[in-house]
Amino acid sequence: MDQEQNNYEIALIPETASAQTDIQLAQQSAAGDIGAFEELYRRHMRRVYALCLRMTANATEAEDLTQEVFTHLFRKIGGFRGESTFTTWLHRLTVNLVLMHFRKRQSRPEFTSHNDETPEEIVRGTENPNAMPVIDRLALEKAIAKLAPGYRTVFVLYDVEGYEHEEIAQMLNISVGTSKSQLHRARLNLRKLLRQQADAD
Amino acid sequence: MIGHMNCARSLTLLSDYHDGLLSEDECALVRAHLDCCTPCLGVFTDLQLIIVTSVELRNGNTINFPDEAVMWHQFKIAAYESH
Repeated sequence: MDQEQNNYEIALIPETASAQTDIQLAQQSAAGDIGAFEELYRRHMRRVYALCLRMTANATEAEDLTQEVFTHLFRKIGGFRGESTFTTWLHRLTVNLVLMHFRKRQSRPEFTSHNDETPEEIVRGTENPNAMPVIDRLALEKAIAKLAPGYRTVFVLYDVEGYEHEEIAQMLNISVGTSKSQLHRARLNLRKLLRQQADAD
Repeated sequence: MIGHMNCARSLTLLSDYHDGLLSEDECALVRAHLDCCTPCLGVFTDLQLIIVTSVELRNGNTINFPDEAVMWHQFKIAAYESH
């Protein structure tokens, strides 16, 4: 966001919290306005929760981590300078806290192979063209939760959340090559899980 | 164009091919292979479907969210207790 637009938004006299931008609310929150922080919470809680849930595949952990994210936000909101959009800043904070959570639990996602299929096994399913005609989003969500943690983390960050491999590599302290190979294996494993489900139905 | 593409190699490159991360030469080799290999094309089509659907997950319609008012209430209590 450029400075001119930023200044324009600061100059607005908002009537209600819901009419204000995230930056305005962040500034008011930093000044102690709990109402402004509540508006930020209500605007962004779901997105934060969704990301936590997909990375952990555990609803209880996701709730706890969501609250932890907003606690951090509450303490650090005065440090938001508008260099990126508020959503991007909050998003990165969420990813970092989930990764710290994995490290504390000493359950850092392993970036290794997990019973990967051979090429023959991969193409075997294509004899049945109807095995995966469409993908139910709920089925995909369930399949993501079944992925090994390392695959799941990279897949969620790349395909669902839209991060680039260079960003993922930096966040997870892995090489770009590892990020790419983990993503590919995640996608192939999801394909396998979804086909198994389609065959079972 | 120097290079050899078989199913085993093609299958390892499908994600990078989809994401536009291959060199021009590798991209052309994969494309040519998919043009004449139905099984590999089938795998690629499946991956495309998964990728497209995963983007749709961003709207959050597949998730059971906790009650927002309850979450905010719990957060407020915890935030004030720690100050």
